Amino acid sequence: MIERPLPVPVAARSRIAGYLRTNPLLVAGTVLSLLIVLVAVFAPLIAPYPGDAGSATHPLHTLTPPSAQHWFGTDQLGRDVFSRVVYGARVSPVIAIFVLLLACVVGIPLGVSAGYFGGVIDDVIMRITDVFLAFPALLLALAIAAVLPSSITTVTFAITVTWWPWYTRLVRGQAASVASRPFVEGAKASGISSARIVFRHVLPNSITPLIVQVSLDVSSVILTVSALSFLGLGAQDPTPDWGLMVNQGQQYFTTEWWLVTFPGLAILVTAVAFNLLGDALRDVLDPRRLPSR
Amino acid sequence: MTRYVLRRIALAILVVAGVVVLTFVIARMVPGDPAASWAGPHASAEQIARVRHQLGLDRPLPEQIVTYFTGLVRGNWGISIHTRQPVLQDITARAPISIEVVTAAILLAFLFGVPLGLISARWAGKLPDGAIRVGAVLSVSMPAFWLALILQLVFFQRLHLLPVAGQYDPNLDYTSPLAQYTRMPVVDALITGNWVVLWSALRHLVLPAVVIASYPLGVFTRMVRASVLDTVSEDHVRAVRALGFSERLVYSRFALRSAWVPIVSVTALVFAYSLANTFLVEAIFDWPGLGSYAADSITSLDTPAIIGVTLFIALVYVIANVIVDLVQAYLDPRIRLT
Amino acid sequence: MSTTNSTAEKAHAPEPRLAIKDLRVAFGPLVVSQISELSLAPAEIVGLAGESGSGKSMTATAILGLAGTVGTKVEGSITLDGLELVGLAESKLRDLRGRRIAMIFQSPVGSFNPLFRVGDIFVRALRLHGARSNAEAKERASEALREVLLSPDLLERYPHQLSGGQAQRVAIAQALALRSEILLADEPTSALDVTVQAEILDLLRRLRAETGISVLFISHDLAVIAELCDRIAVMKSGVIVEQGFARTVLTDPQDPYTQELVAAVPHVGGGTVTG
Repeated sequence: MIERPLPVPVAARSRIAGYLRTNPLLVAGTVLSLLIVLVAVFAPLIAPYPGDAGSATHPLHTLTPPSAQHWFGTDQLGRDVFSRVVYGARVSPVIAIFVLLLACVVGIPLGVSAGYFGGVIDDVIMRITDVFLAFPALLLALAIAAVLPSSITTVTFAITVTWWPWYTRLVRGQAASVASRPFVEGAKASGISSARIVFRHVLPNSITPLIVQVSLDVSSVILTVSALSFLGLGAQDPTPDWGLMVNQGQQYFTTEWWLVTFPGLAILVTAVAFNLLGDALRDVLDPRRLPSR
Repeated sequence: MTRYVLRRIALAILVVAGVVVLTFVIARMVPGDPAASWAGPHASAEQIARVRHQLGLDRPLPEQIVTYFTGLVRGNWGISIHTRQPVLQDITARAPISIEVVTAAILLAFLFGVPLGLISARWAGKLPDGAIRVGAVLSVSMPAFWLALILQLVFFQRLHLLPVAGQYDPNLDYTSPLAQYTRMPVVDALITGNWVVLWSALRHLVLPAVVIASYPLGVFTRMVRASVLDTVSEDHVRAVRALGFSERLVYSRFALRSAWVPIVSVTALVFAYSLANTFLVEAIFDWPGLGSYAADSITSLDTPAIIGVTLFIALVYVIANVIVDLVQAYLDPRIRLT
Repeated sequence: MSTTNSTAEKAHAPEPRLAIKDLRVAFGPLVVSQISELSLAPAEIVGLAGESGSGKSMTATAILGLAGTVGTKVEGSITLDGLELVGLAESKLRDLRGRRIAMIFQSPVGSFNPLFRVGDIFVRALRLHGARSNAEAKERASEALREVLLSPDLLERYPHQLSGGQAQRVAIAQALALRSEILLADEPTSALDVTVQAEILDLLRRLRAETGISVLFISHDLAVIAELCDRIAVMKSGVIVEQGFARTVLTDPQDPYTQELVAAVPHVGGGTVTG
């Protein structure tokens, strides 16, 4: 075969280490993502005015610009924007995680069944999947969220419904190719139950591309959640959802720019962080892809 | 090739049927009684019952779906609660306006994305690559509604460079009225030679197009980069280098050719995603397109309108996907010639 | 250190067309090829034998000055008719790629861009190296195809429409049309079946006789090398462990690795060898 001056295959750990050294962007993404998780976890300790992320209002301090006491200023109800942004890390990202988990819970069994059993089951499942995939993701989620009462649950449901088909399709392809491998035929022939085959062989082998895809999807889901909240379809006041905050700040934007800028920046930074993390995970987990020179 | 085309179209029709059923289901997901909401809050029980019968809601479900379907085909997409106009009419009036923005956005994204991706691949691992990759990630992660607001603030409010809203300066309606053919100001101005309006329209188009171009730009850049890098490690590129072609040609003429296929395949997705993005952005720019219609419908809970727009965009998406698949098949001689 | 079979061979060797001396190709600290001496005389076919990873392909890549594109650095000397290639300006290197040194690869169909007609790049390459018009280039290409016993119609086809053997012939035709002096053949027959392989070897022999082209034939298959080559160099872990006239290396290998390789090839080990 073609001889390439690739480093001799080493243990995964040192491969990761070497890789991280040559790709500062992806290190940044990993670090940033971790930071955001930490912010979410330690929000009560980081936010100077934790009450402001809840139902506290301060009518005497509305719409003050960023200052030493309020790093990101205060909003139309006098609440500290910085605290609300910090607590916001507990809203959209968490919704995103739930969405992805649920999408996996629905999508994986369907995909594995379709790929492993094939035949009619495969056809039916895939046609249904095709119909869902015929809608642009944001649109379908919007339509569903629009007809249901606005809440975090609605948004979670709406996006999950939109997302599961991607995973079904992905897993199905993997499952189908694993199912056709000789060792699976052999297992079937020796009478091992389908369930056992699926769990011990088909499933583990179909998962890796899914993990990569999920990590890449985190940022897309966060953006979708924010978009829906921006339209008022998701979390309601006083929940400190970033998209909702941008929506609320819109009307004051020309003079009180901080209401929109900081929550939006939070969305951007979070999306960037998880995008980079997803890229890094993909490069590390998929040995066929060489890291960029 | 013809077999492929026929099969593809047949599949699309099947999918469209499924799409219609799904929208029907969504429409029925509205909590509460649709008859009651149509009849209004002060309707009596018998009025509601009459409305229910009128709307055909008391018939068996399969029959409702069939009626729904035939209605759609005949052009009856319901009446918007908000505008009291037929939904289809509203949609066709506003669609060209959104299509104008989205098309401009995607053209922009191509124009900048492809060269940037190429440069990024050519100098992979070096500074231009790093900078472009950072830009691409930012581009793809950008919340459209936020970018719209920020750009509006910077370019209109602070710098007074670009107009804030609308499609063109409304005063021009008096001085150089625009003939309406396609309902797209830029196109109309172009074909009627109305340069004043053309200039104004272009200036108004910039910000919305840039905002919507953000996501596609990032996608195209990354896609071209990945595709070119993949291609460049293949044997046929080694062969072309061994023939004495310069690196510049190796990348721009030979490696880039392979990148078109994945780009085309992602264009449909990107087009539909951008169309949905207009929901968020049009209201901010006061752009009277499909997006602001949808956004208004959402806030006023105008279900027929919401369903109508969803259906419309889904159909556009299905058609776009078919077109993209066919173009892809055409581009790849391995498929075209079998 | 390499074992050369006889000083007498060296004394009678004609002036080499391609001479490699103290070559060192490295990827960072990892040395992939280290050759103290290897040469190619006019109209000579030299076989470079060894397993995958022994550095054979890297050597060929380095000869063409393409080592940089795979991230390796080259030190030492590679001379083409006296012209030093190592350190030569890129523009001059591009001039002689194809025109003086050509290369063909292991996957014949794969070495053509699937989105271009076979003739497209062929013609462009000719134009690059001096053909004055597309028509002239096309004519030269057609002529070259006829030389390798193919119909010029094949120029209109796409790579996937060619068989492996046809594709490899077209690749050789390119070298012909460009009037290359040296052909680097990197496992050119490994992906072809035996009958087609024999045809390609025949073609190479004929070309050598008719045009005086020199061939560096790289392969892991010692049997094929035994059939075709005048001299053989055996590579292991980036170093040449033995080189000399084919007959000598095959019947009386000095180096233990060479002995292993020779023993593994049935009819060669039995002592019946041509060339």
